[in-house]
Amino acid sequence: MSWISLEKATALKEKFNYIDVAESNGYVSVEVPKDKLISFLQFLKEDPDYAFKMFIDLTVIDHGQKENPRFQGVIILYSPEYKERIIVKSWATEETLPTLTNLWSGAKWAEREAWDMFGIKFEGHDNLVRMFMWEGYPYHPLRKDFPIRGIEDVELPSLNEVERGDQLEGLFNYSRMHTALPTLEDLEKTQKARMPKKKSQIVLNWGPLHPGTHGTIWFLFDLDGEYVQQCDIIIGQLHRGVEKIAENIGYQQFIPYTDRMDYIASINENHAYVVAAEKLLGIHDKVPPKAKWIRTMMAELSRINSHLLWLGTYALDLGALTMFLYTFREREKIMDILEGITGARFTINYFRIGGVFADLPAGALEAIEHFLKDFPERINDYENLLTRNRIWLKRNKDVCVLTEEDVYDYGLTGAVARASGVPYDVRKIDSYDMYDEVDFDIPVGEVGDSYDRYLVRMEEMRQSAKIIQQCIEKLRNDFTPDDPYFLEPEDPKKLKLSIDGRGLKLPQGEVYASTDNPRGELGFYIYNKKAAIKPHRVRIRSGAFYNLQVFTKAIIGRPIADAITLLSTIDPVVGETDR
Amino acid sequence: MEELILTSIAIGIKSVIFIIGMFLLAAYLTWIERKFAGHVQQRPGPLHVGWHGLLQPIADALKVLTKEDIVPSGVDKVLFYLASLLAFVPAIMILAVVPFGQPVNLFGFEIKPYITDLNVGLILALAFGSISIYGVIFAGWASNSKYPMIGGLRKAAVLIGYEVALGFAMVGPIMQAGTFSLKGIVEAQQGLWFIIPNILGFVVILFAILAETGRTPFDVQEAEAELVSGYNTEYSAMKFGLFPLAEWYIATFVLSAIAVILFFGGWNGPHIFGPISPFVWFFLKLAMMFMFFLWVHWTLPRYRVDQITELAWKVMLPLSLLNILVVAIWIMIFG
Amino acid sequence: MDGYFSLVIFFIAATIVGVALLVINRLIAPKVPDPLQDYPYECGVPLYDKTAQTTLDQKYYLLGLLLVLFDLEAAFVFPWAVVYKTFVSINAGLIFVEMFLFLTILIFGFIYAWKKGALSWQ
Repeated sequence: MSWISLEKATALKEKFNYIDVAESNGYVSVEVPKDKLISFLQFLKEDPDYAFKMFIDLTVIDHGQKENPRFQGVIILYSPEYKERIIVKSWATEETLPTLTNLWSGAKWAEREAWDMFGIKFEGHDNLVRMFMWEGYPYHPLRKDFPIRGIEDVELPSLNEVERGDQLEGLFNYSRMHTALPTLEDLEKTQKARMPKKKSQIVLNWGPLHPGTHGTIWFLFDLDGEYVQQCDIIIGQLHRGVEKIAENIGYQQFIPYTDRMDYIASINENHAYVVAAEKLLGIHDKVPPKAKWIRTMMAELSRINSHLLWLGTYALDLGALTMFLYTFREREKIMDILEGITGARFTINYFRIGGVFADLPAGALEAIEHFLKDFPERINDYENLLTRNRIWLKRNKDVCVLTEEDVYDYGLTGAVARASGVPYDVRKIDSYDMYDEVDFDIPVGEVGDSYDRYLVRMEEMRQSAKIIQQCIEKLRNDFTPDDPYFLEPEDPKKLKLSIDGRGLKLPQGEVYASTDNPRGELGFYIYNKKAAIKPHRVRIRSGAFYNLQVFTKAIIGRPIADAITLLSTIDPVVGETDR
Repeated sequence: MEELILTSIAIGIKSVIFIIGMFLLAAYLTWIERKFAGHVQQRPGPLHVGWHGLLQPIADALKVLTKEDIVPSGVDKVLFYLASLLAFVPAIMILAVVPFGQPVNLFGFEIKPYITDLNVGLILALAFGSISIYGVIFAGWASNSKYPMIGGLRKAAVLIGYEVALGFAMVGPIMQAGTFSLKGIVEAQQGLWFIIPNILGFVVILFAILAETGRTPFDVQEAEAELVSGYNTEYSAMKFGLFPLAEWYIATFVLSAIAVILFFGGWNGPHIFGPISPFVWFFLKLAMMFMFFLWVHWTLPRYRVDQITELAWKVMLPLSLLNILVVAIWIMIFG
Repeated sequence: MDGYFSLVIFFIAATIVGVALLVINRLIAPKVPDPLQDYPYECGVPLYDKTAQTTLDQKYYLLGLLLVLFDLEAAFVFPWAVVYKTFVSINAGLIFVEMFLFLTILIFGFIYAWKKGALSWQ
């Protein structure tokens, strides 16, 4: 496991006598007082023995109204040199924390989110505004005293209001009171708060209802002619409070909510959550190998599915509409296969904590193999149309270069990081499920421009096909239909594990586990104060969220025609950025 | 005086026939384009309105005619309406100088398959083509909205790009024919078509037609991924409908006709279809040309606008100048 | 003059057809007023700048100037092109050299502009 060892963390104590080192299931965390936090993090970042250069995540835990201090900041860092992670914690006394933006630019949005959701002020942050909610929204929704149904203070006719709607009974009677909705004035305030000062000629709203933004992302471009001088992004139109839901729902029940996040690669979202929960339970190694092989195969199939959609929309955005329909042809085949195996096409809910919910149906492997036989030829077709196309080269070469420094600074992951020359792949580092038993390569770019990101994703599809092929052979040769696909706990009294998840209790402790989603590293940080059927805090580290953040920097000085190239090669999904 | 009125009426009727014919043709060109795009993309295209979607263009036209006519606040109203006329009228004016064949004798009348044969026909076609671009630029300005504004300015950039190269590329066929009259140019191609020494000029003209009609590698003015719909974002109903009609169909059609006249011998061809042979040849060549533009449109990605002007000035302009040299030497050697 | 007369008639006819289409549309189209339907479209959010008719820096300004120059040169080439074929049999050297001297000067100007970087956006 890619985590700092207890000895190495304890060794820090010699230098910093004020820190506390704790360990839970092998996840080592360090507790630092608030006023020493920045100097400690600076040491971790710059010291050659630790070199935690890469920013992974920042979040806050609310320990409940009764506790004092109530809020605790959690920072997760990664060291590319030693391939290990660390958690740094600090109590946010007086509801403030020092800002990390001087160390890692990537903390900017995470701090905005923490302010938005918990009301923690970050001292020194240059524009601490709300991340998902609009300016003027009075609450901080992830605090424990905010009810899950929201605070109903606006009178609105309900959606299914009919003349006698108020007379309806029970669940049919939707109340007239609703949680607040933003008005046009609120949006105007939000817009002005995001870009307080216009630097050049006009400010263009780009999105949320725009054909090129792949969802509801609202860009603000300060334009000098066609060239962007300043940019900020307003997201949150699709914010559904998934983290809040997770705190109020059982573990197994939460899985369907994860596939509504990144709806393009729902299997991979399930995967990340399931792996995280299994690691907290300590059963990840005991999951039946057949289930692990199936999960590996399905995750890669879903990756190809997601990358095909990316390729189609990417080409569509650059004007090659025909590619879009070509990739959808292949996507259709995968969709059919997924439907046959899982019963759903889009928001698939197949993985369970402890395995998968059903065995592969007869003929599934043959169907996948049939698809794979055809697939490499199709990729070659796509490459023929695009890779050496002069226009494609002109639009992509040297467009919006992201350097290795950017990767560490902004916490970029997935294909975006790999195209910039950082071989950061959680599949290799963490080797969850069966990834350490399959043979595959990590494609790495040289320049870090849009063209490299394109090439890396194309090669990833080929590598995924290779992994699937190995999984098929394994599943066919080594397993029979009688092999278990779901973990039977040794002592059912101690661990109530079932497919419907009733009564499943997770132990006290904390875990950060991530998987390599098509859009980047998707991590789940689960914190449990005591053994319970509901987690105390679930933080979702979204790869798309952090990758999107670098957009605001990389687009400066480029024409808006490149904005679409950059956005497509970063490939965010709004369901995941907003959660 | 009476004679003047009579000829005016006669020409007027002929003009209306031409315009209505062009409309019907343009309507069915949309059907052809959609079918073509459909089959390129492995889908059937329009299928349900009429046999193989043959009534689809009629349905579309009726739909466009009966849509609510929305004028956003803050627009320059006169210019807003004028822009769609300014895109449409000059585009169809090119039709007036395009000859579709030799005059034929039918029931004792001499019927000319063209409106007028002027000795400056080619220059007029060039001029009308450029004026119709102003419709797009005006639309961008008049809308008082940012996407149309940027789209209009992009179209201006494209205009600046291809205009010079287009002018020089037309010099080659003119040198060989010794006239600006399109009919004269066709008649000069009884033997060898002008494509032979003018191949460079032809490449430049292809580029210019794609740029002028706003088809895919050069459709920056309405790049839907960046500018929603570009210059016509604020337009609705018929005043929107006139833009694609003018740019994508009428302009592409008449400019293909001009390209055929300049390089592929117009209606010249073996007389194997009897008296209608010239028309058959002309429309066959025209259809091939039109299909070529569709093919390009549905295959390639789109350039960025600064890359278009760069391509125009750094590649196309030298090519068109080289073409003049080649043709001049060709004429000196072969006469 | 007959040819130009037809052209004028055609122009009038085309304009009438264009205007008629717009008028018919206005007459038969339904009108369903909505409070925000005349709001300028900027992806459904409030405008940051209320008007778009402001200064908008375009980087192809120099190219625009060059276009004026080069289009004038093209106008000089056209008459020469028309008579080239007839003159070439009389005095091939003169008519060839004459225009190519002119074009050479033009090309020198073109190369100068290229070297100065005027041909790319700035």
